[in-house]
Amino acid sequence: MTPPEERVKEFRRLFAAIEEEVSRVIVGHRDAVRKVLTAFFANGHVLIEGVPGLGKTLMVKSLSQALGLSFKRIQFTPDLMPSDIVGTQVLADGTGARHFEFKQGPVFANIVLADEINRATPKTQSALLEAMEEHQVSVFGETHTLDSPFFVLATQNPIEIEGTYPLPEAQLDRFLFKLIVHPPTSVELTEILARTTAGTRYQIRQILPSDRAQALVEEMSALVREVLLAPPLGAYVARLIAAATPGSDQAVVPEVTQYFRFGPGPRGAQAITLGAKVNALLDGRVNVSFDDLADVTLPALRHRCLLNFQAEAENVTADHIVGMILQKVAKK
Amino acid sequence: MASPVVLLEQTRKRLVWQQRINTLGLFFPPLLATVVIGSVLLQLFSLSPVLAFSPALVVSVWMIIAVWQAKHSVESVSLAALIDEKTHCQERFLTLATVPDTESASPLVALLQRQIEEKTAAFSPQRAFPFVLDRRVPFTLAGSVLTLLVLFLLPLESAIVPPESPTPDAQPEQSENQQQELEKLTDFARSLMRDGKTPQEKTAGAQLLALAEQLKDPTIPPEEKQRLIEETKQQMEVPLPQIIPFQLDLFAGKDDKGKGEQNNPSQQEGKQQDKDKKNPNPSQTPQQSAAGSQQQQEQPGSQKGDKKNEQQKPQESGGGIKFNQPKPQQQGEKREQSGQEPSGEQQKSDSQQSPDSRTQGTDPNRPGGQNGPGQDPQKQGQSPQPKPDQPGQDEKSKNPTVGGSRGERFLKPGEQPGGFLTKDARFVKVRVPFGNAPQGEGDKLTENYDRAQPKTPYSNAPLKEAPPDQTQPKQPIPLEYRTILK
Repeated sequence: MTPPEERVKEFRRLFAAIEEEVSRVIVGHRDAVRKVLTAFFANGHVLIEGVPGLGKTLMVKSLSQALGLSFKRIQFTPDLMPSDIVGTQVLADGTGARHFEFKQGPVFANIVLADEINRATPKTQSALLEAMEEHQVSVFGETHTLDSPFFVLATQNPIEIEGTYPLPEAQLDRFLFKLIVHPPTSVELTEILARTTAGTRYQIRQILPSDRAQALVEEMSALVREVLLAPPLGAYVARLIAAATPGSDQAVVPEVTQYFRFGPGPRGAQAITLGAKVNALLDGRVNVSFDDLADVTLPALRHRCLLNFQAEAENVTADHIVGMILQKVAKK
Repeated sequence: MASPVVLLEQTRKRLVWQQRINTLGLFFPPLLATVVIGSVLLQLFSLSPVLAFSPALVVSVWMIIAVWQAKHSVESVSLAALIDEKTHCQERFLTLATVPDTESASPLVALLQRQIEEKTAAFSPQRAFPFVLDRRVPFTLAGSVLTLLVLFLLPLESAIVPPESPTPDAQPEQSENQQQELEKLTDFARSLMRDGKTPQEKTAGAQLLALAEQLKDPTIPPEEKQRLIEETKQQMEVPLPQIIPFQLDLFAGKDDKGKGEQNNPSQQEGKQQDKDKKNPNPSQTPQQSAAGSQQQQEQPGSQKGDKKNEQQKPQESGGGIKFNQPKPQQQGEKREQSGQEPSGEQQKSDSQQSPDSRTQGTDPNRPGGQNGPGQDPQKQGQSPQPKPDQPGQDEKSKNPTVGGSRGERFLKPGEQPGGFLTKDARFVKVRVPFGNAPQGEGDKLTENYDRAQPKTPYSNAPLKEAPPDQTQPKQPIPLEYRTILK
């Protein structure tokens, strides 16, 4: 059995290598790349929000190439059907006897890019619910298990409102993180121009070997869950969640009651903890610290805190309130 | 390289030690102060040691409990978080201290311990946690010192009240005092019963002698002795305290040792009696001597008399005879009497002290001040009639004390309208109201002819014995003054 020191070192080495490889293609967004990888090794899914043209799709494709895992892309449109995602039964005529055969949809891949997910109807969007949570799909009464690892990376455009369907709360809760991709700075933009307008384009190198990619990812994900979480830190996470819940007696920030319609649930606490564990491993530790928790609290809670009309009218964002919660909740 | 568990234990001991030192610092100054206060109270008030030192006992018990509780004040979670904060271990100590038992066998826990050992190789609890004095310690120290300063600066001894019950050492002293007072009482009673005394004095002497015999009886309880004293006082025509300069209360079982020296007029009179014994004039009885003292208290109407009065004031304050507290109906009369001229008794006293004035007779307040036989007391005892042609305005213009309301103008210095400030007086003298004409043989008018001065003063003071060839003058006591003069 591999000693824990070696496992931690291997985790850090692979993670850094993948991150470095993706960063060769994606200019800037290093934090977004790290958070995506964090969610990936924490067996979570990521919702990326940003205007078009910021390299969201490129980032996911680069990640899949570096990991050496299967990758599918689904462009969500209003007329997209659930069967277009999960697959459907088709009539096959192979050996002379016709029969129905399950045709797998694009969800059957290790990494699925749900591009502009808010353009599909809620019915289609909900087709991903079972896949994201249970890692399986049910078609015509038959359950089909998805390959492991299964990672959904959805993107949505925040500025185009017409013809979009905001994701329901249940589906939002299934994303481990929600990342905001900001426009590049001028320096980053210059670098983007240099990389994308030249004659040659950089080809992503596969970091994980093809034959052991899935095993390595599973091993790394298992190591993440072994990281120790002290009970006082677990209590701190619980206090964070309670503080973000409107009407809670531990809501130390009055704005929570004023602007939040719903607060995060247990999945929020799980997301914070898992993301903090990955951060701990990246720091070479086998225990979670308060800094690890604070680092992932915002991406883990921002999409789980539903704002009310007053907050939207006053242009108050969840990031603002969660930041206040982090400052107010005592660590001890 | 110490293991994390050892480091945790060392740090715990260090913090517990600091906590105990601070606890001692918090409690020791108050404990010391309570011990000192208890000692002072023990010495001054004769309290029982348990009562005096009970606050110190409470503080010490409290201190012991606090020191004992300091062991439990350092929780493992807080301690681990504290070490994490000092060593930047990023909650490694906290995780190790709170790791569940189910995960204690995890290989990651072993890795965590190794990481902690590497991180805390240079960690020393003594350096990481230097002793920090509790901020409350200086305040308790200052408060205790201040309390002790206040204790020693306050005049506690003056506020001490002597105990009610006499100490066993005081018992023989009290009985000795009783014996002395009994002897004095017996001697005094016998002196009253000598020949030449008035029948009243002889009767009083007999009663006092009987009382002295009863007081000598040890079988009579103090309450009974007190009753006997009271009965004797009531039976005697002359009030007992006025003629007995003794502490008869000693026989009633009262311990007047502390306050008797200051407040008991009888004892003061006893001192006066001692002074009288030292008087070079052997013919003067104690009553006469007391009367002389009383006359010295009287306000003289002339400047000369004022000077004499000023010269004799120290003697008055020492052991002068004082008036009994008069009844409310009699106060007004006494005030009027006290504001008038001195009588012949004072003239006699003055004549003894200043022979020149007696021979010259120029003092307007000393008209004819000679006591002699041949007085007609009945005439002197007649009620005076004011002279309509000689109003008292002349007197007012001459006497600065005359003025204001009718009662106040006769007040002496220090005297208040509510009555005389003196009490237990034996001898008083009265004055004839203004404007009285001479009523008896030998009576003279004052220089202003506004009052009559009797040859024999109106007083209850015993008169000087007359020569053998003359009849003893009877002292006139007007009817309206008899209740006062008794």
